[in-house]
Amino acid sequence: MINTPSNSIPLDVLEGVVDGLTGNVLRGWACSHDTAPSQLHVEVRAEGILLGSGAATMFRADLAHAGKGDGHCAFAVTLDPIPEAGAVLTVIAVGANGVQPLVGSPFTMPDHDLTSSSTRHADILPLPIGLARLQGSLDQCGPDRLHGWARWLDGTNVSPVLSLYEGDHEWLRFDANQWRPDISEIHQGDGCCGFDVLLPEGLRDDRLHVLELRITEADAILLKAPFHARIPSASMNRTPGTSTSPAPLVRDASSDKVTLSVIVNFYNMRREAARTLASLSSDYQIGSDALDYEVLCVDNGSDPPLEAEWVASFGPQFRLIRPSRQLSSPCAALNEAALMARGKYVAVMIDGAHVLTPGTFREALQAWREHPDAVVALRQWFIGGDQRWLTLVGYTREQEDQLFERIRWPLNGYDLFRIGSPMSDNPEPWFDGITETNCLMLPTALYDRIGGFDEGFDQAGGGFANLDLWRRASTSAAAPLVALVGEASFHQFHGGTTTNVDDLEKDLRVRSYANAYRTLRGGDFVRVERGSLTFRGHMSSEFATGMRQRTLMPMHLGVTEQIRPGRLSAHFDDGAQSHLMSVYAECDLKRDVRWLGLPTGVAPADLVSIQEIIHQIRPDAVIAVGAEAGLVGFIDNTLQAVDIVGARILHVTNSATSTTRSSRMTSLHVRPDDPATVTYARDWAGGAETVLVLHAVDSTDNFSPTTLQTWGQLVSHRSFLICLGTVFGQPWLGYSNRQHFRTIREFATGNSPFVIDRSWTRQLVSTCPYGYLRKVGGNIKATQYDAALDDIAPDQQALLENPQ
Amino acid sequence: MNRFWPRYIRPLFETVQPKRIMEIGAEFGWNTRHILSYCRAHGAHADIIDPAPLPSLLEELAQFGPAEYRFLALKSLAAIPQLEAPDIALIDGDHNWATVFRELNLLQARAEQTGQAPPIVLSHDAAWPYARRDMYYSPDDLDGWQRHPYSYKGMVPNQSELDERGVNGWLANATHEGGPRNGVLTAIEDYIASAGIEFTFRKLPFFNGLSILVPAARMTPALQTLIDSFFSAESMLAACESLEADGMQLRAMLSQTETCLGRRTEALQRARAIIEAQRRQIAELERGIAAEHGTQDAA
Repeated sequence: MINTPSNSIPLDVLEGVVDGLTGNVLRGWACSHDTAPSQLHVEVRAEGILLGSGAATMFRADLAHAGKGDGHCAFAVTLDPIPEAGAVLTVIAVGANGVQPLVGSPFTMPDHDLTSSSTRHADILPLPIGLARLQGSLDQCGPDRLHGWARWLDGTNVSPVLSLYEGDHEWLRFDANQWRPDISEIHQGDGCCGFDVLLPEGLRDDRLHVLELRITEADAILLKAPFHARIPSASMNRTPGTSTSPAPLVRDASSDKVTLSVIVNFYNMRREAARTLASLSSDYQIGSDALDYEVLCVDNGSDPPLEAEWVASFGPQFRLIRPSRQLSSPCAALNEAALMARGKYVAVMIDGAHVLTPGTFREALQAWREHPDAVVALRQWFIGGDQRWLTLVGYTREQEDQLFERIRWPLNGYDLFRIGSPMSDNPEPWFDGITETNCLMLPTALYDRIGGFDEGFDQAGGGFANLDLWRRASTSAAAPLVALVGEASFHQFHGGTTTNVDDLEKDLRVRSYANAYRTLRGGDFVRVERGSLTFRGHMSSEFATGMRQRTLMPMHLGVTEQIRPGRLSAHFDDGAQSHLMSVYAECDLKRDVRWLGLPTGVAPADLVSIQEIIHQIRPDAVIAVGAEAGLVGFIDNTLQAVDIVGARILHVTNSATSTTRSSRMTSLHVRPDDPATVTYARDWAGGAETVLVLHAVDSTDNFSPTTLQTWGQLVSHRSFLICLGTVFGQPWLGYSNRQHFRTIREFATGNSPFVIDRSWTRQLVSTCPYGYLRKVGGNIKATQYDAALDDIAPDQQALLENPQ
Repeated sequence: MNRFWPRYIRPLFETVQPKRIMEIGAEFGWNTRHILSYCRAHGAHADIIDPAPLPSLLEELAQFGPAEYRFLALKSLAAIPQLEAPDIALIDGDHNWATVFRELNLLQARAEQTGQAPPIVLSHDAAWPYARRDMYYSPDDLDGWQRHPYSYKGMVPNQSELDERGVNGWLANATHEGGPRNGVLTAIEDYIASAGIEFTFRKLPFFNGLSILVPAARMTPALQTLIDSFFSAESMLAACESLEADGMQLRAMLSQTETCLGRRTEALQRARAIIEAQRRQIAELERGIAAEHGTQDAA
């Protein structure tokens, strides 16, 4: 089955691939790289007979990312009649300049019944969605979610409502209205056309389903043919030979019931246990006088062991449990204690080093009054800050004790927020999804039904057992998952398995835990996202309202002189940076950035970046198009400081305020977008070896890829084209059309020698985001050397021969 | 990776006799050609994954048909979960820790879901420059936590900082070498440390490095003998000869480049002389005109 293109046009002009057959629809893509790209038409023939044809104009994001045209080059050709199995199909793309057999042609029809689902495989996604009024893509179907996007082409403001059907059965109905930055930034529309929904359990049965995506409004089918998806079930997701989910716990009937049983696990942490148990006492927990509860303290083999009398000294509710088996994993001990519990509800704390805030029981009770089957989760904070780092720099239990003394704990339990920080780096700690809780409160019946902790997690400390319990409880709950707001558990410093070790060690342990989880569950752990949570509570402490670090205590512990190494992406993500830059732009703070009294039009960080670029590439010609006079002066001073002999500056401006202040500077008072200006600039640059171009985007009414192409031709290999003023405002509300960004992306994609070098905007506030374009392509290899260019002035020899 | 084919990868294929192959990152298609030829000869099937196929890859694919391959213009992390688990996977895609680590985990997970052993994995760029340094083909496609600070600068051996004079300056390279979660080899080592299964892991430390990762469940005496033979004195001598030939080829290219550079420099020197001559001529003419005007004014 050899496909040798014959009488065809080169692949670098026209290319394409046959992806495969979905039902009776042949799918693939074809695009033209001609200088004047034309719409391609795809024809499918068998023995010369036309079976189907169609335009290659459907959009696929993966093709856009791959630089295949603008991504509008996918096709889906319906074959009518359906060829026999074994029939050989020829698939060609027809363009203005000729025809081209596609890669994958000839295509042999598979030897199974198209209508039968027993023998065929699931289809490979993405599948393009292409109707006259609607376009989009089905990107993913399984193992957990249905993911893609769809948007109206006619400007309809209402989001499309889509349905997933199997035959006449509607499995899902959802809006395509989620914001997708990739769609927003690369393609048309505001990007609010994505969907990402959980697949129903009924589809997750390892069987091949024939599904259709429909637009509810018109009851029209979005894909040319039904697609086949095989979505693994939980049991399929399991590693063969491993156990299934734990069997339900069976307990003896108990007549002596209480409302809540707290089960807390200790192992060699008497110091921490004292505070933990105090935080569970009725003196500490607000409103617990009205709560009948018990606290079962599991001592899982401490040396020395906890004494029953000491445990009982915290109140009549407290009693010590010594498990019948001592294992390195506490799961079995916790389950054993759970079976002794008398509560209608259980609160499980696998790590006894967590101190609770005083309203925990009260808020849980409120949640259960509203929904008796609610599952309540408490978020985790550190005492003293990030203990994973503090452990490396000398933080001790004694210093932590000082922190407790400073807030005179337990006088006001909410003062824990004054000496703590969230374990999550998320800037919204109360409303983030939840990976783990160290105080999971749930109906005892539910705990029993899901089998409690899975004792298969046999690593020391339990590995991901606690995460797994939370996950299984969340998927089995018949009532809301309640995330408490304003209440938390605070982890005290001790020798925990992952909280008090350095990053590398923690990394290794967490990965081994994750692997053990996958072995037991057959898939990676997935946290419970915020969309699945219900939030309740209130802020009893102003110090709990946010995670941005403040000096909450006037006194210093003096633990270290070191600075904790941060990860910018965790503390200040792209969204936050975009917000900060927009605020900077909207407040026009760049007007305050001056050089020798003249406005520069950029942020200080941009001055630093430009200075560094000049230092790095040492340009001998700088062309500043539409730049402010202060910036040009800054460049002039930088060139002088860097001591680049013979460096020159051309300042192109339509403003009369520019002043030529040094011998290296030439001012040109013209319109920057006048073609004659570029010609002049090219002549001015002459034989300069390294040319740097700065282009103010607001200096022309027509900032376009063509403009960038024109000025970019003057930029030397490995030098920069810096687009000044690309910042936009209010992106989070969608007011900005981000036209500058789109122009730059369009310019820098495909075969452009330029890349967007975002490493220059890491100082958070830039007025030129995405504006630093580096020319990394287009270098000449020795094999491409054009010797004819060596003869520079063949008709000027007379001058050399007789220069006088 | 193509350079590893005749002496290392082909013998591995012939010993293992894989029926399903996955190639991640095909670039020009040179290695793809070998893989698909093997598929044609042995009735095997390959999934070729490359999100940005070059025309030359498509030309290679055009020499074969659906019986031998399926091509996916997708990123590996999107494609692997949709495909059947391979017997051998060749990884030469996005050379960074986050991608390689996830590729290896996805391959293992996919195999386990279908009751198979994880595939034998051959990873390119397990030696300098990307063994301990990330590179990102499309940095914006990764979340911030998945990438290190980067710059479009080149790399120089034994120097952590990037350098304008270094190699691969057209790519987004991590600004520092080494440390956690940095580089292809680090990803492979971290995967092995956390996978929970036994592997045989060997690395050929030349031609940018090829790592050979064989799960215990797929190891056979014949395969073990073959891999051991890659590190015999005889094999190392052959590798030295290849490296020497490669070095000589590079020296020839350098010589050619220097010749071109010399000619171009001489041309520029001539141009400079022409410009200087013209400048003098213009100045002389201007002086003549000025003198003529002066005479007229005096008259």
